[in-house]
Amino acid sequence: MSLIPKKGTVYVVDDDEAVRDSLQWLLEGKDYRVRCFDSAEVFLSRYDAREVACLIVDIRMGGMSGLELQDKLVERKSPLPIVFITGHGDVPMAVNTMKKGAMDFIQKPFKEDELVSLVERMLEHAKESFAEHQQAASREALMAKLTGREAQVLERIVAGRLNKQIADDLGISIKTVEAHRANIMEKLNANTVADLLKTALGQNAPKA
Amino acid sequence: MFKKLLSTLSHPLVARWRSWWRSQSPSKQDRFALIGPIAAVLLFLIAITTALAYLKYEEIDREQEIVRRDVEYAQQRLRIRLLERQEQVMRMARDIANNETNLKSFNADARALLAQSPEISTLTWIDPNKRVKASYSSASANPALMRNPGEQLTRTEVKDTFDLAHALLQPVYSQPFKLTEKQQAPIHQVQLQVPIVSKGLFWGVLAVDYTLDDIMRFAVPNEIVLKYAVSLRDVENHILAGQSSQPKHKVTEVLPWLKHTNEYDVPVTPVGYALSLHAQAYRVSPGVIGNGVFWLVTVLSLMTTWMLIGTWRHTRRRVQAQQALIAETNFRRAMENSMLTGMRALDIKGRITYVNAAFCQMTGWSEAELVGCVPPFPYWPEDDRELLEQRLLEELTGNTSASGFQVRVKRKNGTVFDARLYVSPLVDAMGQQTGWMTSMTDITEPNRIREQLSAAHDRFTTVLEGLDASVSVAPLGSQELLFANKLYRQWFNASTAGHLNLVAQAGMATQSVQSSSEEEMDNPLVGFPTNEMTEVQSKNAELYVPELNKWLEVRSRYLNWVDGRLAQMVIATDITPRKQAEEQAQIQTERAQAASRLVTMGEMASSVAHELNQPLTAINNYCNGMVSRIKSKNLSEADMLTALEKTAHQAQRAGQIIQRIRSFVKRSEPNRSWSEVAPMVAEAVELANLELKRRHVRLTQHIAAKLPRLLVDPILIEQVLINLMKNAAESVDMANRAQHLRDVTLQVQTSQKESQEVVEFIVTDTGRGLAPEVLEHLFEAFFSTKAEGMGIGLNLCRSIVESHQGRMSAENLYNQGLLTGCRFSFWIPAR
Repeated sequence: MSLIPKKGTVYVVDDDEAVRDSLQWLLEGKDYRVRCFDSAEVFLSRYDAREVACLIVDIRMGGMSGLELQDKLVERKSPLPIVFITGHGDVPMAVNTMKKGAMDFIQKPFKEDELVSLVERMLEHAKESFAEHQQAASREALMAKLTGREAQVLERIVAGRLNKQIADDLGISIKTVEAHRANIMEKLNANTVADLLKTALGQNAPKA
Repeated sequence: MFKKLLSTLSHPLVARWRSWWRSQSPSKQDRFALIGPIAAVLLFLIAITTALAYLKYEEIDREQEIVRRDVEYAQQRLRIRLLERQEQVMRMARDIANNETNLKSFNADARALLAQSPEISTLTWIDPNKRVKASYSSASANPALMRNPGEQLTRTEVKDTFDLAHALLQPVYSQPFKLTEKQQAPIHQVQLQVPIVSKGLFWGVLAVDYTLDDIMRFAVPNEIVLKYAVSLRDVENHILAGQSSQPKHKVTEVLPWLKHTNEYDVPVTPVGYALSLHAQAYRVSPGVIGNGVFWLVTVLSLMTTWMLIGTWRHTRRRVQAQQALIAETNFRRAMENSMLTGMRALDIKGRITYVNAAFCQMTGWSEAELVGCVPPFPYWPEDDRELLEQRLLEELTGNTSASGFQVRVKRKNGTVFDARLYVSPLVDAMGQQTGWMTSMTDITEPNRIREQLSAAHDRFTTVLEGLDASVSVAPLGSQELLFANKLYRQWFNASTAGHLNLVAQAGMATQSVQSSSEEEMDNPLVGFPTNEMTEVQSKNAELYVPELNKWLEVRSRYLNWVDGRLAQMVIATDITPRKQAEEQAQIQTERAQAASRLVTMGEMASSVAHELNQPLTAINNYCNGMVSRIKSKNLSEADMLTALEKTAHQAQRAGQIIQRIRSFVKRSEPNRSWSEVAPMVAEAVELANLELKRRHVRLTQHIAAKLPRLLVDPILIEQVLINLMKNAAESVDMANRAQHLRDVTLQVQTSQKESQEVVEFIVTDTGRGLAPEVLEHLFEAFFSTKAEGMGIGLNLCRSIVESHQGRMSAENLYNQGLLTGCRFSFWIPAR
C-alpha cells in the first residue's frame, strides 16, 4: 500500500477516535495519505506547511474547535484547503465557515463518493494554491532586491507614467529614471516592460 | 335659786364656753377633764401652804413683839434702877462737895447705899489726883475691887472715865471691863463716876462699881428671866453676864433660812451702847411639823392626787377601750356596707328592725323607709303578695329550708328582679331568739349565666352532632361509651365496639396501663398517662375500614373525663375522597416525572443525535472503506477482520446509547429499593455527558469512595442528577466561557444535615449564575429562563428530592465579588 504513489495527503482532525479511525480507513482505501490528529492544537504543532495537502476537520471538538483552527490557519496565510465535518444541526455554522474561505462542508455520516470527490477537488485546489504560493514567494524574493527608490520608480511604471513624469514626481532627472529602470529590468529578469508588469502585478495580485 | 342657776347657764359667756368645749376633739376634752382636777388640787395645796405660812409668820411676828416688849420692859426697869443709884450717888457727891460729908460719914452713907442696892460692889471716893480717898466694898464684893485709900488709879478704863468725868463734869459710865482673879471666873464690871463739883471746881469723883452679874440678878425682873435667856453683852456681843443663848438647832444647819431665833437686843440706856440687854425666847410652839392641820391637809391632798391619778388611768383605759370599740364598729359598718348580700332582720312579729346598705341598694328603698315596716313590705310585687305572705309565715314559724328559696323582689322604681333568700334565727347574747335574719342575693345574673351556659351547651352539642367526623369517648379499660356523636352512632350503632376497633386498628393502646414491657422499652412514657402527656400525645392514623368501605383518619387523645377518669377520645374523619385524590395525584406525579424525563431527552435530542451519529458515521466509513478495498482487490483478511470488529463495536456503541436512553425514559412503576450510589451516578453521568460533550463542557467528578446505600428510586435520582448537570452545561455554554473555564463539577459525599447522616450531591458550574428574581422562583412550577423550557424540570427535581425526605438548594458562587458560577445541591438522608 505504501509502495503505491500517493495521490496526496489528507489531514484529519477529529476528537472522536472511531470517526477518525474509520475515516482514515476509508481514505487510505482510496490511496490517500492520511494523517490523523485528535485535536486542533496537536495538528497546528505538527503539520508541514510545505506539503501539498488538505484538511478535514470536525467543527465541534473539545479544546480548540474547527472554527478556531480555521482562524489560526488564515492568520498564517496557509493555503491549506479546509473541509468541515458537521453534525445535523450545525449547518448555519458551516455556512459561516464557507464565508471565511472553507472549501466545503460534509455532514455525518459521509457518502463515500461525495467525500472522495471533495478530497480530489481540494487536493487539486491545493496543488494550484501551493504553486501560486511558490511563485509569490519567488516574486517577493526578487522584489526584495530593489532599492527604495527603484521600488518607487517601479510603482510609477506599473501605474503607466512616462519617464519624464516619474522624474518630475520624484524630483530627479530623466537619466536617473532610465538608469533605475534598467536596474529594475535586470533585477527582475524582465526583458520587456510586459514581463516587468507581469512580475510586478503578479506580486500585487494576491494583495488586491 | 334654781332659776338663778338656769339663768347663769344661759349666760353668753357660759354659752361661749360650752361651744368652745364642744369644738374640742374628744381626746382634748379628755385631756382637759384630766388636767382640770389636778390643777385644782395643786392650787388648793398652794393656797393651804400659803395660809399656813402666813399664820406661822404672824405667830413669829407676835412672839417677836412679845419679846421686844418684855425686853423693853426689862431694860426700863434696869434703867430706872441704875438712874436711881446714880441719883443717890450724885446726892452723895453733892454732899461731899458741900462738905457735909467727911470720910466717916462717907463710909456710913456708903454702907447704907450698898445695903440698899446689892448690885453695887464698891463705892470709892477718888480725889482729883486720881487717888483713892475712901472706898467701901460690899461684903460679897470681889477682893479685887477692894481699894485702899491713897491708892492711885491704875486701870485704864477707870482713868479714861475719870478724865471724861473731869472734863464733862457729868456722871460717866465706863466701858465694861473685866476683873480677873486667880482661879476664878472673870467678873465683868462697869463703873459709874460721878464728879464732885463744888462751886464750879472739880473735887474728884465718886466711883460706883457695878458687878454685871449682880445687875442681872437684881435689876432684871424675875418674870423676864424666867421666860427668856437674858444676858448683858458688850459691843462685840460677848456675853458679859446672864445666860448664854441656846445652842444652834440641827435643823438650821441643814436649812439656814430657818435659822431664826426669837431674840431681842436693846442697849442699857445710862451705860450707853457699850452695854446691851439681850433676851432670847425659849421655844414654846410646836412648829409646823407638829401642826396637825398641816398633816391633815397633806394627807388629804396626797389622797386626792392619788385618786386623781387612779381616775386618770382609769379614764385612759376607758378611752382606749372606746377607741377600740369605735374601730370595731367602723370595721363592722364597713363590712356591712361592702357586703353584696342584702341583710334584713325581722323581729318575732315580722317587723323589719334592720336592713343593711346592700339590701337598700338592691331594693332601692332607703333604710328609713324600710325599718319599722310590717308586712306587706313595700318591695313585694303586688302579684306575688299572697305567696310572699305565705312565705313570711313559714319564715316566722321557722319552716324554711336551708337552701333558701327564690322570690321576686320589686325595686322602688318598679322593676322586678329574682332573689334568693336564706333565713336564719337571730339569737341575742343571752341566747334568746329575738327575730329572724334574712340574707338576700340577687340571682338575676347567675340565672342569665345559667341560661347562657345551657344555650352554649346546646350549640356545642349541635356542632358536635353536625360534625362530619365521628367523635367518641370511652374510658380506658371499660366497655362503657361515654360520648358518641351522631356520625359515630350512624357508623357504629352506639356500641363501644366501633371505638375499640378504631383504637386497635390505629395501633393505639387503650389499655396503656397494661402495656407490655416491650412497648415500654420503645416508649418510656407508656403506662404513665398524665395530663401533660395527653396534651402532646395526640396520635394520627389512617386506616381502611372494610365494613364502611371508607378510609378514615383516626386521631385519638387521652383526656380527663368530667368524672376524673382517664378516657380516650377518638375522632374519625372520612378521608376516602382525599385518599382517592392522593392516589390520583401520585399517578399524576409519576406521569409528570416520566414526561419530564422525556422532555429532558427531547431537550437533549440534538446531543443524542450527534452522539449516535458518531458510531453510525464510523460504521459507514468502515463499510465504504471495505467496499472500495474489495473492489480494488486490495484487502487482506486480517485488515478486513479488524475493520469488521471495529464496525461491530461501533454498532454496539450506538446500541448502548439507545439502551441507556430507553431505560431512562421508560415509564416505570415507582421502585424504591436500597440502591448503591455509584452506579446511579455513573448512569446519570453517561447520559449527561451527551449534553456536556456537545456543549464542550468538561465534567469533573469527585465521588466519595465509600457511600452508604440509599432507599431511593434510582431512576428518579438519576433524573435529578441529569437535569442538574444538563442545566449546568447549558449555563456554561450560555455564558460563552473560554475553553479552560468550561467546567462542571459533580461532587458526591456523605455529610451531616439536620442532625442526620446524608449523602450530598453537589453540581457546580461556571456559568453566569442565577439572577435574584430567578433564585426566588427557581423551584416553582412553570418558571423557566429558557425560551423553549417548560419550567417543570427543577420543580419536579425538588419534589423528587423532598419525596425522598431530602432537601434541595441553589446558590450563586462568588470569588472576590465576581460571580463565578452557580451551585445546585441536594441531599438524601442515609437511613
